[in-house]
Amino acid sequence: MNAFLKFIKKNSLPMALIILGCFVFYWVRDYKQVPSGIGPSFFPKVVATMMIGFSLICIFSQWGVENKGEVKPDRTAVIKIAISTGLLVVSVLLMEYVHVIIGISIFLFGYLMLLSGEKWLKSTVISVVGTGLLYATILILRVPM
Amino acid sequence: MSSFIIALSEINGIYIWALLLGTVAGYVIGALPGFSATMGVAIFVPFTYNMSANAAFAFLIALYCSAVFAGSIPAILIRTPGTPAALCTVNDGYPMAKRGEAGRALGLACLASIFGGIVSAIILIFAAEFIADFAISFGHYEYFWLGVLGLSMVIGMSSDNMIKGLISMVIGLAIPLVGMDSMNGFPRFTFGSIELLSGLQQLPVMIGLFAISEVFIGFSSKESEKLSNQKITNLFSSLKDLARNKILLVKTALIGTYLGALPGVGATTAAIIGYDQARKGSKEPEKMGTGQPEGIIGPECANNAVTGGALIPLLALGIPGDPVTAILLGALMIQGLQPGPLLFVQSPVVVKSIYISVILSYVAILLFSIFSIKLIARLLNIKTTILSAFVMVFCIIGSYALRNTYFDVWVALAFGFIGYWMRKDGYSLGPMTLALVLGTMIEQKLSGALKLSGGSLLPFINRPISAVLVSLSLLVIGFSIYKIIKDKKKRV
Repeated sequence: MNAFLKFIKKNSLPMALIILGCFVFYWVRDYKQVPSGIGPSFFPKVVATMMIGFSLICIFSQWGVENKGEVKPDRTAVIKIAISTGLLVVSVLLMEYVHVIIGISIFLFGYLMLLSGEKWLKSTVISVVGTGLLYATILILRVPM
Repeated sequence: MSSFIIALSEINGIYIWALLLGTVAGYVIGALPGFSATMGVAIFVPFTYNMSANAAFAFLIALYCSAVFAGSIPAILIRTPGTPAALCTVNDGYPMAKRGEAGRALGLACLASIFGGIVSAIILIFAAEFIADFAISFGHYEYFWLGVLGLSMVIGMSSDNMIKGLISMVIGLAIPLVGMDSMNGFPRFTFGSIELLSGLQQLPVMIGLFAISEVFIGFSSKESEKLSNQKITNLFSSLKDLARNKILLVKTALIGTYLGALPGVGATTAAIIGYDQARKGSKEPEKMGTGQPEGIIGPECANNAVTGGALIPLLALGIPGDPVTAILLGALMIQGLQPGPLLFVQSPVVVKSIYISVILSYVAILLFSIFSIKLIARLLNIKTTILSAFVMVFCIIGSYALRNTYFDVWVALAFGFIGYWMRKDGYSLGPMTLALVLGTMIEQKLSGALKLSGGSLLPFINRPISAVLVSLSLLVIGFSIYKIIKDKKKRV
């Protein structure tokens, strides 16, 4: 069971791509046909074939070989990624319904407190000043917000 | 020539400000380990939406050039390269700084970078015009093969694991499949979503891949505790070292420009080859790695020469050579410009303004190094997590501002996770970016060509330029595979 889970973990991306490739073939089956044969389904089928083919080669060629990635995420890293994603989602929703300034400042404050480990006063100062400067930049450069 | 004069006459206050701000932003991003030039350009593109094309490119090109150079600052001062391209600078830069010659090492890196950058800009001016003149006669068949040639470089790009490079490329090819099929006007993989009708926008995808995933990766790596306490004096005491290594300077500048012009090679490879050239040309090769000037000159000159080289295929053919130029391609399109040979006919002033921006960026780097390098060195002591908070905010603003829809923010976030997943498992993002940009072109040109030929494949190979491009693609693939096999045997 352990070996099976290890296999799944190591080959998660190629396996996901095999499923995606099969889905592409299934999804484009009803796409309209054109006389020249180069219809909207032609290129997706080419890409899906490559996707499945390369993924299978990857799974077999990497058999018994360790994945050498840029990082080996530990539990803390996963928690930090989850927190930053949660903060981003909440802030974007706030921007959508309240105002950009509130969304940005809450994001910065939360990020500095929870992920950077800064004290509340430093976090407040940086988030307020930072939001002000960013908002001024947005206004000066007329970034469409 | 007259367009050059018009471009020069359009240099105004806003242009200068844009150039200086770009240099500062590039310096900060390049100097901070964990942040790359690609990420910098990706998050700052949205801030150029309302600038004129000239000012926008002055800003982005200055950011690009200074970020590539600034990667050498932490490499020399704290033994941590700011960008992957500064990897080799650590070998001799840090020992020199440790000897108390940090100023000399930084001066060497700065002057060698400026020399490489300006030589590449001069080559860019002549080569881009020449290639664009030649490429103006290209049709669907030639552009299709040009795209294939670009993709064939993926094999060389992923020499450590070819199959993973190919998988990364296929993911990049799959992204442009979403949205309206440009040849048949048929919606593909839109699942009834109005936002998906116009496809997944390249900029949010790149922001996710290069900026958000970078922040996520940062959570897994430990914060550098090595504080910069080096004294920086006699910055330009290194002029004699440069004069002694003039042949190395010229050689690495030419190599860097050439490698930059090849799709998929990039500044890191150029720096490695530049360092190798320095070692080969050194009178005391056994002393390399102990703080030799040529160990800084070689890689720094080569990696900055890539900046001008990478702009050659982008401007002349509309084909990006690396992820940064892929984002610059998007920036050109946002300004309503279509890169490629027609750009030289339709907007010659913008092209000339880009040339001028590359040269002036290096002038700005020189000025900034003289007056503020000590300040930048202090920046190395700021916690990366504080700056990554601002990077995330830039990601949100940048993704949203493209079309004023929060959908693009979710796209960026999703690709942040995809980028993180890929990098964690050892998949390079370079092939994916290249395929993302070239995929659309390849599909359009292939469909167009097949429609023109009535389904016949013969015109794909019997036109002279097509035949040359096919042969080149096969040569590149063959050579890359040969090199990979040779390297593997060497390692064994």
